[in-house]
Amino acid sequence: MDRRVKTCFLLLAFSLFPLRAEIIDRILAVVGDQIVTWSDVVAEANYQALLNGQQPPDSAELERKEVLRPILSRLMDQTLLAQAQKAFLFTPSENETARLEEVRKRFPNEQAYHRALAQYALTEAALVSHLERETNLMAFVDYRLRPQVQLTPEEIDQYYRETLVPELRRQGQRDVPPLSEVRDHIEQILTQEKINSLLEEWLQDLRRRTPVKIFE
Amino acid sequence: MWLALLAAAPLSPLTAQWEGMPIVAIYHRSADPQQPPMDSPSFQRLLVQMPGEPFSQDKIRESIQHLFATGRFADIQVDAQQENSGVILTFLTESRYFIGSVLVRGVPPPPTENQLHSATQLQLGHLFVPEDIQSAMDGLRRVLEDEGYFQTQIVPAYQRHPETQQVDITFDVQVGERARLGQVIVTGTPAFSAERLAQQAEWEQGKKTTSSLVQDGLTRIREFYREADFLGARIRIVRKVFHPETNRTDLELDIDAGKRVTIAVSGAPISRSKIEQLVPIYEEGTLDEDLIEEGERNLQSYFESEGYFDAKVNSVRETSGTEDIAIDYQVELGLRQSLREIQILGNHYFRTETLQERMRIEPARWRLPYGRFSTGMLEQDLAAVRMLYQANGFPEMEIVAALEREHSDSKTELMVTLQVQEGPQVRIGEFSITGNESFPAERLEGLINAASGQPYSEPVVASDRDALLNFYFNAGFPGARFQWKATPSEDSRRMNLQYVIEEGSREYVKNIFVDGLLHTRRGIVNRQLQFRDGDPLSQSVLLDTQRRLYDLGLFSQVEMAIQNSQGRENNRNVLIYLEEAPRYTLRVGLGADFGRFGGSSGDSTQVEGKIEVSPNISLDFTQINVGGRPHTLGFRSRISSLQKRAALTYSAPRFLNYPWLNASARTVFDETRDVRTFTSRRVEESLQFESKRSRITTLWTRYAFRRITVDTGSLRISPDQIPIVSRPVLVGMLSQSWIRDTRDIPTDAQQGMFTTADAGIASQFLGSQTNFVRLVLQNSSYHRFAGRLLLARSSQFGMQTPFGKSRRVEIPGQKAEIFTREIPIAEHFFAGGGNSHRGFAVNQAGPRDPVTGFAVGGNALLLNSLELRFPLWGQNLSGVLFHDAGNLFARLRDLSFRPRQKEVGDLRYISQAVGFGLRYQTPVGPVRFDLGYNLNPPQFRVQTEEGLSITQTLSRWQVLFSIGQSF
Repeated sequence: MDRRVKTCFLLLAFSLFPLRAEIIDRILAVVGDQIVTWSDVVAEANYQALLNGQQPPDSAELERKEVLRPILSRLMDQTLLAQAQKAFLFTPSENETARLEEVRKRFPNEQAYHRALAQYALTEAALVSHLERETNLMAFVDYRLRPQVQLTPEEIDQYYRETLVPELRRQGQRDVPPLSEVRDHIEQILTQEKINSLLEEWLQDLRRRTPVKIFE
Repeated sequence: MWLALLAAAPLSPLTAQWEGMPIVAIYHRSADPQQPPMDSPSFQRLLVQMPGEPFSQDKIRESIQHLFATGRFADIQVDAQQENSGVILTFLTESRYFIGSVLVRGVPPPPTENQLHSATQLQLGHLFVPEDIQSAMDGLRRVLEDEGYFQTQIVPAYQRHPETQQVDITFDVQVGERARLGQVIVTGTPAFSAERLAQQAEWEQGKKTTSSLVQDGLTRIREFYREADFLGARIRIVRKVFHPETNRTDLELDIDAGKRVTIAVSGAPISRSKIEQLVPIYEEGTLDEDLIEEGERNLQSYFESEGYFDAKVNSVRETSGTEDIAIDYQVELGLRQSLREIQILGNHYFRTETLQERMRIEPARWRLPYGRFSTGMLEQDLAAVRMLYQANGFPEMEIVAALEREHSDSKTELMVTLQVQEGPQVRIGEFSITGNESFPAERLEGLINAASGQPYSEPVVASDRDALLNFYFNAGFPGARFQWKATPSEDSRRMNLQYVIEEGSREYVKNIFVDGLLHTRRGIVNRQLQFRDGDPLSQSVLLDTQRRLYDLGLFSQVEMAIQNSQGRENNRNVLIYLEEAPRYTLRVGLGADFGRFGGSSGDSTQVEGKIEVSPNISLDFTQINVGGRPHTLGFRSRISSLQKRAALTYSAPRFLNYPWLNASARTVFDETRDVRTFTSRRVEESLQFESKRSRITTLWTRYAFRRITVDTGSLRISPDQIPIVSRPVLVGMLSQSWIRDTRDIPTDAQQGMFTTADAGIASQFLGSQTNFVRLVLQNSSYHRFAGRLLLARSSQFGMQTPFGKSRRVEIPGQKAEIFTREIPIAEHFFAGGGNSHRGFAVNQAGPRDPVTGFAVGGNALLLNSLELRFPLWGQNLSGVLFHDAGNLFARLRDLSFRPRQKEVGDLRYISQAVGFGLRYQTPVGPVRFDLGYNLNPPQFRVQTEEGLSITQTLSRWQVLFSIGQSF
């Protein structure tokens, strides 16, 4: 067929079936004066999948509410804590380098590491940014909440008797270490549990006091 | 909404494939088709992803964040479309709206419109959140229930304006019937019955339950408990119970009367009212140790100020068997002393007078027989002097006070010596300002006190900080920050100082949105705006604009706000919401004039008239905002036995858009007999221009054309003069008045000067039948001395003289004609009364008719008044001693300074009067009562009806009432 006629047919085809505009990013939630976008959710999902050694999620999977909501909720909590951190003038120490090294060590070599980053649509700068944010927030939460944790000897004793010893026995361990040997370990566990509980209360309070809107 | 439809569509999985592809174009679309997209430069400034660059998901995300941070958008989506080998991006936005006008309709006062508006908590320019409407309605309901409306229905309505992103909100309210008071229920331990308390509060069943009824009642109850010595009573309204079936509201109060507290002061005489003033338990309505101790201190200070400088006060608290409490302040006065002298030694940098100005202690003088001293006052004075030195670079300054007493038989005198050790003065060494990118350092240095070589102190830095931040704030830098660093230099007396400024971003005016105009022309408002689109955003300029808009007199409310103040953008919309004042005003007034107006007008033995009260009624109608301009049309009328007057005035301030030029035109009909000699009728048209180039100087130019007729039957002059004087005269006069006014308060001046010069010419070329020139000069000045004493003086000189051709006067009933250059009697000067010479009744000074003895006024005037004004009692009542001297003269050449008449009938002398007056301050000015005594009243001859010639002397005593100071 004459090239010119072919071109006309192609143009006619394109005019009958125009190329569709695709939404590539949008606001999913507003937390105070900050926003959480779809691309934030995708980046967070890829980052978590990288850390957990899972396959990177695809868009269709992320669109499902049961998958989207937990990631969005986590990002909103991070935003609330970041806003609280600003008001508190907390200056964290810089530990993200150590965490980056931990991530690198999971891969046999540099090429594998960079292939993995590409697979999860992450740049190293973005990975470092995520690690930095997480580290800062964890340090801030610890700074704010750890002083509020007070453990009594009764609580430690109770955990030893009612949780640790039965668990060890269930695992078939005959020689249960005495309380004095595991006290520090129990304190760490209980402290972390209490911090988690306090964090949950704190986040609920922040959500109540901060204007939050989710775009369905 | 189509954005919502798009939101449901799946997001593109293609973004990873587009990474790196060139961006062909970037567009902005609004969800509302009526709303135009952002202008391209503003839009581009907010983007991180730019056309021509490679596609970057991260940059697109950042661009969304920047757009959202402006605060203008509620939702943002980005769509992408491949075009050839590139990508077209479109940012789809849903706009936010901001609060515009808020109207509440259907509610009669009370409450007021302002109260309703405040109750909604919807502020102009703030973000409109639909969820806030419910809170607004709850607020309205609370205010309406406070005013007795319990069955309200509120319907909100919105009108959005996409072009301005503003939403106007209207609440239509159906209030129903206002509830009436039902029962008063009292719980707790009130110590009195509910009936007694309701009676005290004037809460009668059936009264409308308004907030003022409830609050006034609570105040009365609190006062009742206080007077019954329950000083710590706690009273609160628990709730109001509304009964819809009867439309009644029951009030439930919870009262804890507490203990009865009696307070006494022993050992020194002191009035009950003074105790209540000094012991804070009364005002605070509670009893605790801090308040008791504060009462001790206050009482001690009081007795110290009365001359008992060593007074001691000790409180003793006793509880009686019934648990009532008695507090006895036991006073030991000690010797009464007087502060003879205050000596200040060791001061070199400041003069002694400068330090004394900051001190409250004062040595004894005639006004303060014991002086003013207390240990508390002395401590405060030492602190004030210390602060003065430290603020001027003397950080190590010390000051100590030594007291010496000298006892004699009759008195004890105290001398206070203040020894000052100034110490070294620290000055600024090197000084610099950094961070100022928008303004040169020289400009900023002109605003501050700090400079190399100047005294250094932290108060100076604090003052400079305020000055610089204020300057930056008003130059469009709301986020400017100031820091300072002071480092000692090698010279221990020098401190190097550096000011560091972080300017932040500058904000500008983007658009100006004006709303609320119904009748007013937009151009009138525009001319008052002190800023334009593109100007830096300045708070002081906004305030100045607001003041100018109020000064127009057209608006009862001028509200200005920045739209989207929480958003982060550099170009701001300024919102101006104007509420026009009611255009029409009708006033009806009743009043009375008091003076010597009465008595038979034909009785030559009562030329001054008898004292009479003349009631009057006035009716005024005013329309402002005439033709949408700040012009006023006014009709004023007044009717009394002395005067019938009607005037129609049209005022045009800011004439021809010159802010300093005001024009007015007036038509007056006036018939008055405030001069007992005649009743005149005047019809006048005038045109006046007022030019006010500065705050203190005003120039008036006026052309007046009037026709004056004197009622023949009312004339009390020589019969041969009647035919001449009774003819109507046309007077066309051009005059100018120059006024210079530096008084602090024109209605009750305490300082300053007031000078006027008025010159006028009546001429046939101006349409006048009589030709004369007139000049009047006046100067008043006010001088404070010795605290609250005020010496006020006023001098006045006036003269008028005919010129040119005589005017022809036809005598009715005769063929004769008379030519005269006499100035018509109604144009004469008249003097006497409360506002000129208080030795005479109103308009009774000066020349008199040789036959009838009635005052005929004059063509020359000379007056001088002196007043000594002093406080009498409290802040409102003051007294005056005055001396008025002067007179009217028939002609300028008759003006004389003779202190007495040469002979009976010779009125060319200076009449003098002395007197006493009272002034009582009211919101409209001081109400004035004067009693004048004429030292040398005029003697003159009159002819009786029988043809006899008798000598009359005007009254020596004059009683005068008025409002405002005499000058």
